[in-house]
Amino acid sequence: MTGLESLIPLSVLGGFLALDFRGSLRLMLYQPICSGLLAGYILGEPAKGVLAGTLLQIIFLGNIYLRGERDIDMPAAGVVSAAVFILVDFRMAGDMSVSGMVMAGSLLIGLLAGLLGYYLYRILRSNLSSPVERVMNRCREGHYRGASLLHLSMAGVHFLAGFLICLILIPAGYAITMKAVSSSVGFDGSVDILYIFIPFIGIGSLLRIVLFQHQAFWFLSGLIITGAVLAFI
Amino acid sequence: MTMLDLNILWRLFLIQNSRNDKFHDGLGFFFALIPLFRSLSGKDLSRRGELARRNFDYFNSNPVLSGMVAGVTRKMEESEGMADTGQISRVRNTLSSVLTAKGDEFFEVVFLPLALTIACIFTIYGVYIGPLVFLLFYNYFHFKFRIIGYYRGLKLGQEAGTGFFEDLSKISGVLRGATAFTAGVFTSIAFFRGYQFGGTPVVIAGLVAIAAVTLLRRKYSPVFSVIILFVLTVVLLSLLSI
Repeated sequence: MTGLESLIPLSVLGGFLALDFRGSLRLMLYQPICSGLLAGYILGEPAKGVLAGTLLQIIFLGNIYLRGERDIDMPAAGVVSAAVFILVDFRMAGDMSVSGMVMAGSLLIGLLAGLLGYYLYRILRSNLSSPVERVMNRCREGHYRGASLLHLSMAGVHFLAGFLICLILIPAGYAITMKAVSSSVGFDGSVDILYIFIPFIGIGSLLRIVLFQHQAFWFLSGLIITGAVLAFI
Repeated sequence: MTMLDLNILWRLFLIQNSRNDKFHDGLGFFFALIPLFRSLSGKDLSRRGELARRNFDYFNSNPVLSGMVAGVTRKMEESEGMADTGQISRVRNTLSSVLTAKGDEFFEVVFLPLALTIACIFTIYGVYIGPLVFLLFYNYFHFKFRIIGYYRGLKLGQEAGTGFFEDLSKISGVLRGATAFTAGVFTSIAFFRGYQFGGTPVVIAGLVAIAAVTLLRRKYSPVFSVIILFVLTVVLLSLLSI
C-alpha cells in the first residue's frame, strides 16, 4: 500500500498513538522510532519507516518532559514524517541522489505536524477547565455520570485530533515535498548526510542531561572506550 | 486481583485524558476511583457528594506512579475514622508531589533517554529490532511500577512511600551512570561516523552543532532549540550544495 490509499490507516494510527501520548497509556508506541516503524508497516516499508523515525527521535533524544507535560506532538510528527518520506521516496523510485532532501522535507513536515498538534492541545486544555468545574459541581451533588462522560469523551477528542492532523498533513506534506524535490531546490546526496549531521543535535540535548546530573565521568568513559574500540576495529 | 482493582487500574491508564489548566489531572484521578466511590456509597447521593468533595480537586503526579496515590486513597477511604479529618487530601497532595519529583526523575530524565539512546544506536547500525528492544525494556518497568505502585499503596497506606523512594533513588543513581555512559557511546559513534564521512570539517561542524544547541537552550525551550538547529542544518546543507 505505498500510495495515498493508505491515508486512512495511517490517520487511524495517528489517532491511536495520540491516545497513547495524551491519555497517559504511555506504552511509548508514540515515540517516533516506534511510530515510524508502524507507519512503515502500513506502507509496506518498515525499514524506511524506522529510518525516518530514528532521525526524528535523535533530534529529540535529550528532551525531557516533566510533570506529565508534553510540548511537541510526537505521534503526529512521527507518523507524518515517516509516511511522507516513504511515499515520496516510492514516487522517486528510491533515487538515492535526492533521498537526503526527501528526508529533510519529511522531517520538516513532521515537525510542523508536531507543533500543530501541540497548539491544538493548548487550546483544548485551556478551554477544558470550565466544563471540568461544572462536572465537579455535579459530582459534589452526588452525580458522577457527567464526569465519566466528559473524561472518556476526551479520549475521542485526542483520537480525532491525531487522526485529522495526519489526514491533512500527510497529503499536504507529500505534495510540498514532491514539489520541492521536483524543482531540485535543496541539497544533493543520499540520506546518509542527515544521518551524519542530525546526531550532533541529539548529542547537544543529551549532554545537557548528563552534565546536569554531574555524570561527566561516565559520559567520558563511554566516549573514550567506544572511541578506542571503533578506532581499533 | 478483584474486579474493583481491575476497574481502577485500567482507568489509571487514562488519567491524563482530561488534563486542563485549572485542575490538571483532577478529573482523571477522580474518574479512576469512581468504582470505589460507587461501592462505598451505594445509591446514597449525599455520601457520593461527600466523597467527591474530598477527592475531586487539583491533582498532578507522575502518571506511571499515580497508581500508588490511588491505592493509598482507597485504603484510607475504606478505613473508618480517616474520612472526615482532611488527612486524605493532605496525604494525597504530599504523596503526589513527591511521586512527581521522584517519578519524573526516574522515568523522564534517566530511564527514557537511556532506553531511547540504546534503541537509536541499534537502528543507526541497521539493526531494526531497536524499537522492539526499547518497547520491551521500557514497558517492563512501566507496567511493574504501575501495578506494584497501586498494590503497595493499597497494602501500606500512608506508609507506602517509606522504603520505596529510597529504592527508586538507588535505581535512579545506577541508571544515571548508565545513561551518561550510553550518551558517551552515542557521541563517540556520531563523531566516528562523521570523521569517516567527511574528515575533520564534519567533526568541527558537529562540535559547532553541539555548542549551538547548548547556547540556544539558554534563550529558547529545549524543543525550539533543536527545531531551530535542525532547520538551520537543512538550510545550510541546501546552500552548500547549490
